[in-house]
Amino acid sequence: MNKQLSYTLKELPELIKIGIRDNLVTSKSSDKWFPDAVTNCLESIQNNGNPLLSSFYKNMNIDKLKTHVNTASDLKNTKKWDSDEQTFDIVMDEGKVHYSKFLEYGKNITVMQPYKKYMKFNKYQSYFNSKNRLSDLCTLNSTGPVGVKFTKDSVQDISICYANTFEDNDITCITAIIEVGKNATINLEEYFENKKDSIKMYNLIYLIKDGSKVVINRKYDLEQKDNSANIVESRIIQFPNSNFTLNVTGEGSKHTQDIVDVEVYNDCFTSILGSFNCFDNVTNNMVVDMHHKGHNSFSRVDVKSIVDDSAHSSFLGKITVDKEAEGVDAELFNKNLLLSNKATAITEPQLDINTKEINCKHGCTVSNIDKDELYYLESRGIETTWAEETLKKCFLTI
Amino acid sequence: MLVTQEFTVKVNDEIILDNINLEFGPGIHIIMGPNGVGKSTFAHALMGNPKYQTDGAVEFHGKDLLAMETWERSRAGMFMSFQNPTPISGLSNFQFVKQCLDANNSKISLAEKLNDFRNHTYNLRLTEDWDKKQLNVEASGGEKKKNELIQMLMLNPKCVILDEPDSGLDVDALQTLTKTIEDFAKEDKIVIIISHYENLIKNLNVDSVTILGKDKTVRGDVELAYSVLEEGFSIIE
Amino acid sequence: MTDLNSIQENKYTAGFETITDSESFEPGLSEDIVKKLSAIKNEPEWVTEFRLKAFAHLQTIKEPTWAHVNYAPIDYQALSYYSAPKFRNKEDIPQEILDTFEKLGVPLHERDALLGIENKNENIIPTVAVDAVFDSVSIATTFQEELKKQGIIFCSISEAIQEHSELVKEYLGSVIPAKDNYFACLNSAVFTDGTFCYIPKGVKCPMELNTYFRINARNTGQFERTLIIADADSYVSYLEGCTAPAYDENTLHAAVVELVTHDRAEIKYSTVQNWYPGDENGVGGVLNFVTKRGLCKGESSKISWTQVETGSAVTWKYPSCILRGDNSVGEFYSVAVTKGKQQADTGTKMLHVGKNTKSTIVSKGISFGDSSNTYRGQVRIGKTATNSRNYTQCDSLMLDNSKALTLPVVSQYNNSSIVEHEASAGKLSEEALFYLQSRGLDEENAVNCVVNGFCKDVFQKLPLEFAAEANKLLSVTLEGAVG
Repeated sequence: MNKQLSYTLKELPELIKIGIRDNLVTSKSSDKWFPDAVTNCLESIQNNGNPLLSSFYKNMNIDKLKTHVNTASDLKNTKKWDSDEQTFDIVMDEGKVHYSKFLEYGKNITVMQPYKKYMKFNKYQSYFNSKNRLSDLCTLNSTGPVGVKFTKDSVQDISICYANTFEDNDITCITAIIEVGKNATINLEEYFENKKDSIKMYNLIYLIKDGSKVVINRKYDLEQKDNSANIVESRIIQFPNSNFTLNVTGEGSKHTQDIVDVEVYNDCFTSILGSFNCFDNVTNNMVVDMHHKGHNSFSRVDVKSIVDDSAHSSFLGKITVDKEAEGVDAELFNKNLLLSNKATAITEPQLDINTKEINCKHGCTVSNIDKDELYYLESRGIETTWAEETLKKCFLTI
Repeated sequence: MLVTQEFTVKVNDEIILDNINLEFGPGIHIIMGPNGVGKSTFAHALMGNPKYQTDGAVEFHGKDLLAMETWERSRAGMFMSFQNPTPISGLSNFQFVKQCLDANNSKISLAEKLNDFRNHTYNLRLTEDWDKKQLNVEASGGEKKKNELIQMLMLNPKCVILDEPDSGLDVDALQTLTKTIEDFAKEDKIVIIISHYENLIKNLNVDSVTILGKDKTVRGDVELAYSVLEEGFSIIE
Repeated sequence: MTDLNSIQENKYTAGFETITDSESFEPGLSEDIVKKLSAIKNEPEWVTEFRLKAFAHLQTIKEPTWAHVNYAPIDYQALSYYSAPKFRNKEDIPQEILDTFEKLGVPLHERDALLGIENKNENIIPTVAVDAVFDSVSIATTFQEELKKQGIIFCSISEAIQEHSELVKEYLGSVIPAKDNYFACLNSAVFTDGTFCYIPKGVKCPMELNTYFRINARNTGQFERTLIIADADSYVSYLEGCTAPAYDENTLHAAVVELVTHDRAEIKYSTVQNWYPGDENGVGGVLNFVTKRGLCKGESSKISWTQVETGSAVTWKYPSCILRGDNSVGEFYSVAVTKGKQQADTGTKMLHVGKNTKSTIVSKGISFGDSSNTYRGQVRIGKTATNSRNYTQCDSLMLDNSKALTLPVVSQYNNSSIVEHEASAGKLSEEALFYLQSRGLDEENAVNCVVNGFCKDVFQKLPLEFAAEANKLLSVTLEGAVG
């Protein structure tokens, strides 16, 4: 019998509580899943209400998320994945990873998924404790955790696609762990596949162990004229002496929330770069929370958005430096180019400094294309529209 | 020919230049005037800087210049060397020139363009990686003027307006500038130079000198320029 | 205006108490108290109504908790809402009160206001007019007659309510309605006195207008209400100074300041705040919860807020500007110093509504000891505010491992405006200190020099007479900061 259930994000916590949305995670044996984290999230929602209504999202235009109707059904219509044909090294799904078996031959990578023998996930579960945000709903509703572990000293160039292989309009909730061992050098290409008209939530934990060097290039798929939403929460924990770069580019898929929490210990280097081109009525939100817990680290956050038509872009960037984190050098920049009169931008650069032995600064601007620069290009014969495109490219480049 | 008729330039309803009637034929023309009188404004207004509102008529080789957009004026053969060239981050010196050439329908290959560019930077003693450096960003006044000169040489315009091209240039670069101006004049181009620099003026074969005064405009030959340089602008009052 | 001849380190020299005969209400806040307050001041009915409406609304709202400050809960019923020194009329002011102001350096007699010159010389133009407020009552207002000749009204708000009722009625609550926030609502119900100022069309006020607030009685709340109106093409520069005795209990100061500028008018509002900051353990001190807002109603009008805040245990204030008139300008220049256990959550709001509006924000925070210094700012460029500009600069200078928090929000709803925001946080430049010391300055002087440089942009905006005072106040406050 084809049972269909329509619900919005507002109703989800209730549905989980009364068991209509089946949360598989609590029902399994403890070391394979996240029973404690899930219980913690459920309690938090009971005490603090639906995180969808939290003031954290006040500048992010999330009305669409509140009213979006998801449809769960019995018939899920799984997509078939042929590992010979796919172009990504790894495809991460809810509780399942698709990859070629050759990937693990070199013993540098271990793919983690719940149905694998000897797989224990519960050592990671404290990272998924409640944050009072939508990621709680993701943890609660996910079919199971997945992940990739890079052994120490390994050198890898890997592409990961986050996709949901079911073809219905149900919410996708992917909880994943990416662990990079000590002194490894890893380049990751991350791609978030679009799923037409549906909401996708990702709760990603990156454990960057001592001495490792990681570069992640992240891209969002955009499809015009659909109502999809990407809600991505990444939590990065940088152990001492590590190097981490996250480069996000997007055309703001219909609605994107990219929340990046970085916990940095000593002698690290961190670079978070964002470049967004938002048009039509796209909503793009980026949050970067850079928390310096250790001394002598260097971090730089640089996010740029071009906002056109009736698109909306919001940025919340926070640098927190603990008392013990002396010698930290932290910078945060956000630049927004507002091109049309219906476009809007909100930016909140914040500093929370608790020691005097630091060097911190932030800057943000909201403006249109600089008229002097435009005139200079035109005076050399470059036609107006072309000149504007050139300046937009220049804006996103540096 | 570049002809202005009752040419008036305003900023926010305030008149800066009133009723300018001038003719510039092929050759070298000098424009001088006290600071703030509006010489740069004149140049910018001819190029169509959106800051200024214009009245009157300007004819360039038979075409109505004021009816054209800035980039159309450039493609019609007008070139202005800015007094303060605008820095643009994210765009390299060469990329900019390449774009300008493409905009002007240049038929030469990319390799040739780069080669030409590098020849010019070599002659002007700019650094070897100049083509990769960002346009006018953290460049000295002289380096910016050299950039303007390179663009002028590569775009091959029909009429050039040089706004104080000599400021910041060293002796060698000044010689290159002088030679370029002379070559242009020989090719029947119109060269209009805004300058007070005696060393530049005396080395050129000047066809006309225009003094833009506060209330009047005076035309003359190179003798007029020397008189003003010696006795000041009050002689035209 | 504060006693700057301090010899001992970190001693709050204005901390003395004045014993004088005063009349007070018993502690407690109720509708009856509000009515009694209105009655004792003999107010017209519209004022009593204004108070009662606010009081009614107060019962429906709660104190805000979002500020980054911690303080012991205020027992509103334990405070007395009226305490005035007893004297029949202004000529009869008790000597001890006059002495208090003299000790604090506030000139009350017109003669003294001529800046120390004994013989009254007709040719010397007085530069400062003073309104002195002791607890809830305005004690003296100098140069009122002189100013009246030009049509300028400068008096206590109680007096204005009596003499210029219609004018006050037109503007009171127009910029900060009672429902705006909890403390503004409280103030609207129980405000006691404050300054009223009206500058008529085309008049440039010839002297600095200065109000000096002195809290004295224990267990009272101070609720001043200031209202300044600059009619078309006028100008006024106004300064307020404040001090309080060093009591062990917290003293609540919840003031409301409303400014209105008409076409092409300008109000310059400066504050040098030195309320008692509490002792090293955070005991006592003034709770300074103030709502200040300026409305640039007319075209091309200008309001600038300049403040030097060194005192009070807890500060919660956001002098703001609503830039409604096209081409209007709003400015906010601030130096906020926190030390010991002081906590400051301060900043500004610039709301751009009209076209071509401009705002500038320069905020400098200096913190040491165990204090916490928060800047909270909001710049909102509305849809109609085309071609507007804002420039903000917030810098935090940390002399210790205290807490500096910067929380700006910028939102823009049109594409022809430009907003630029910069902030930095760090400690004193060791290089600069070394350089100064290598030229003979001792450590303390070197620190003062560097800190003054840090605050220069703000001090430059203070009226001349007070820039030097502010400088001295800063160096007194910083005593013992480095070491």
